[in-house]
Amino acid sequence: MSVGAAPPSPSPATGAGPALELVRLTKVFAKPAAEGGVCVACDDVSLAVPAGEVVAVVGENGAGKSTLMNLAYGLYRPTSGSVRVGGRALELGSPRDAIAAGVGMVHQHFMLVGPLTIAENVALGAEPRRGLLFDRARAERAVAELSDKLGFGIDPRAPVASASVATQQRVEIVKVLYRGARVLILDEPTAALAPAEAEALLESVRALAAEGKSVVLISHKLREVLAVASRVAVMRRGRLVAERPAAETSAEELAGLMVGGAAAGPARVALGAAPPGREGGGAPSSGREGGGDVAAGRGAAVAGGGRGAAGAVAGGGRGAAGAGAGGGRGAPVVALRGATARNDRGVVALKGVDLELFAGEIVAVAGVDGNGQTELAEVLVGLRPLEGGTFERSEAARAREAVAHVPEDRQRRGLCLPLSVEENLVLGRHRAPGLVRQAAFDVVDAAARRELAARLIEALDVRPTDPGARAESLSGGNQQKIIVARELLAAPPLLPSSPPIALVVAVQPTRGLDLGAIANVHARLREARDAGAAVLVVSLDLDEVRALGDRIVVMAGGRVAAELPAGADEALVGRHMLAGEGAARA
Amino acid sequence: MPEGKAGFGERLRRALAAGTALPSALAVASALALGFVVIALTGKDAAGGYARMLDGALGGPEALGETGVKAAVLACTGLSVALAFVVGLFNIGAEGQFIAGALGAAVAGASVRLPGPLHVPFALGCAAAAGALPALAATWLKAKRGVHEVISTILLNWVVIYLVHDWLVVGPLRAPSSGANVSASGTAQIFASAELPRLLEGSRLDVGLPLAVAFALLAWLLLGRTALGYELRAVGANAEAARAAGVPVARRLYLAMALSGALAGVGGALLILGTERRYPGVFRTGYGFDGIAVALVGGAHPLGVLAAAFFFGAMRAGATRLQLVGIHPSFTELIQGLAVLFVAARPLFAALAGALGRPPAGKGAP
Repeated sequence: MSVGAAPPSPSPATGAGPALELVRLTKVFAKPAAEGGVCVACDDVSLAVPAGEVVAVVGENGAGKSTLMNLAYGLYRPTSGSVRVGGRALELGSPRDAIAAGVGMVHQHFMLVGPLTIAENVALGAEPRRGLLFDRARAERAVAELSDKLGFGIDPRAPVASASVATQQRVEIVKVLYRGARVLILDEPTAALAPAEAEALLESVRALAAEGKSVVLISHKLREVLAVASRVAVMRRGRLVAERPAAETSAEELAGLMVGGAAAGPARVALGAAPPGREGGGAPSSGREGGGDVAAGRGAAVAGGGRGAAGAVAGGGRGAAGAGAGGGRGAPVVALRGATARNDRGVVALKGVDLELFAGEIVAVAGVDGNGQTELAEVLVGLRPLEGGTFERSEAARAREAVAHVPEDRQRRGLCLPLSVEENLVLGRHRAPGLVRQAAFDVVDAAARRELAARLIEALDVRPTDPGARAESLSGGNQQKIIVARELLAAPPLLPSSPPIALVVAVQPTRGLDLGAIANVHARLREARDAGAAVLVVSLDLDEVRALGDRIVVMAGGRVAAELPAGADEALVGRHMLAGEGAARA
Repeated sequence: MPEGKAGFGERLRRALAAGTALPSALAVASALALGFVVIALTGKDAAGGYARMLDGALGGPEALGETGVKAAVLACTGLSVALAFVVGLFNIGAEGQFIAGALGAAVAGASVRLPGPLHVPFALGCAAAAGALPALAATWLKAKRGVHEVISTILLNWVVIYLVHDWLVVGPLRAPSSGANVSASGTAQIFASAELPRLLEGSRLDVGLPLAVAFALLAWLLLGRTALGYELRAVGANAEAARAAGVPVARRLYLAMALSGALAGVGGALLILGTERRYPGVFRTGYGFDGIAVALVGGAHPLGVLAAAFFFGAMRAGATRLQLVGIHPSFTELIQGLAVLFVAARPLFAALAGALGRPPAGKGAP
């Protein structure tokens, strides 16, 4: 790709053969002796990625996908094996050599400098110069060109901090292309994107491959993988257990390979499978939507989002099943009326939201990223003041400990990374009478805290299981599990001294999690509902919205664009998502 | 790879927070070794010098007393800086807070008549309050006006220094000179009831040392064992997450800085009530600035700070003996400086070790 600027251009590989070739890579990490001394994160893995192809690597959290890619990119030095690009062996453990050879990596956690503009971020480290000065205009032109070519529509002059997650993702891709990458490694690129945004990104990935670039796509989303990759490699416990042409496999087969043991496969794939007696949404990969549900959804869909209509929707959509199981919808827990609020940039992001949440129901909020969902969640948990309108809470939902909050940005708002897993597992509930001796200066009851931590770690399968490990040493998926475990389970019955959870606000609760963990988190959210909490889930993943929501609220342009019944037709939800002003941003 | 987002200051803070005893001990040993080489290179008797220094610091009750008195003061100022570190603030104002506390103790000790068991606690309390004041001012400036605490605490140092040394001590608070005592300058002598009781015959060791040890233990218990200390550490680790979890972040910052300033102030009080017995006319100590070094070498851990305070106290006590073999006492400052340098360079050592083939613990730096 020729760029207006002067990025370090690698010598073009003219030879045939794979653009990226991983040869028998093995990586062994040292671990505490108590856990066996070593951890083989990557075990004798070979993988070839030809030019112009998209190869997907799938696997559960901790299967070794990220380790493999960090080896390819030189962030880790392999214990044995080699990495070849265009036939040339790379210097091991040297990202610099990997970059020079044309390998670019987009990490799951963005590596961007907030206050700098998009163009400055892209050029950082490879700045075009005019004499001794940074040639800003040239950098901006180069970014605009790349952006146009991929249809990204990003403004090179905007500060990164003010860009949406989807835009930041695009900036990361532009960044590696700007450096002349011919092999792109994308780690969970669509984890934080709305369906339309994800589709656009996959389109760009196809365009990159058509141009002759090689793409390695790490993903949990099997449908995406099958739609865009030509081959799929499956990893489990550090080993590459299978490699299939995308045309000759299915989501079911891949899921079975990922979790190991054919028997475990189908049961775990059906994420949306409802617990007995409850009607759930359709299972995402099997796509089984009850025809009756869809019909009811269509019939009762009310775009206005009025209170009366919502009631009608719940009645029509959930029918007798809803009322028959676990008590169903109870008393109102929170009520927003005409709520308006500004976002961090001072722009009005909520423009008059009416929303009531009732005990014993899950309300799933769908919408294109940046249409007010973030601000809605922050208002509900008390982190963002209302500018207008009213916000009422039931008595039970007023105690801070009675509100479970799974924040959108787990590292900024959900965790104290330098502290231990155990300390993070009690953050916010740390003053519960069962965890401190209130009679004695709130001295921490170390034994009680450790026991609670051990149970939470077990419940969400946090790995590693060492409660003393620093939170920052865990993978993103396991960090997310810490937050979910704490917010939903550090409460009665595991922590009887804390008030019962009255309100759950979960934003993207399964971002970056594998299938097994997603099913676990969904089950925990349903448990919270069945225990009588009002649950609000914000998700950019329509499968998740439809799988979880007893009621679906679609937000667009800072307003509630529609309230739909459980399991509403995907296309219908999508239409409402794009109906508001927010669609202009998408 | 969350570390990629952390700035240099943040990474330094984390490296310090992660402090284990071993690297600091190695840094101190390296500093002593290199100091030895430097002294030898100047053609002096390094072995003799070190022997005298050791004697001056640890040889006998008098030497031990000197070390103990200095270590007590340094432990207070070191704990002051370390406590601010915990909530993520860099309190460079320990010197000013130390001076404010010293003056507070001198005034409380000389102006009020109280029975013995009450006078010392009263004077220490006044010193704590006087030390907390400038620290709280800096925190208020940060909370309300966004002034960085490094800037405000440095500048407030000079406000306090000029206010105390160039006005109060030579002006309103100067002791009226009596005929018998013309040469003495500074504030009035404190009453005997305000003096710190001495502990050891033939030395100046007083209750300041057990007090400082108690402060370190209390700080250790507070930070490691209580919900409040947990909240302070959470604020330092990620204030945004702490806020989201319901921790009153601003109040915790005020509390930590108030305690920080109070500890520095009490350090000043120990020196006044224990050895000086008045605020002297010429009082250039640097105990507050040394507190930063003590906190760094001590890994910002209360018990580490205590150990580092003993090292720095011993160096201060032994310094004068170096002159006996013709070595300038400022060589002890060189050694202290080297110790800080080696501690601060720990990430560098770790990176070097990583580059030499040992598998990196978490990730290689890109």
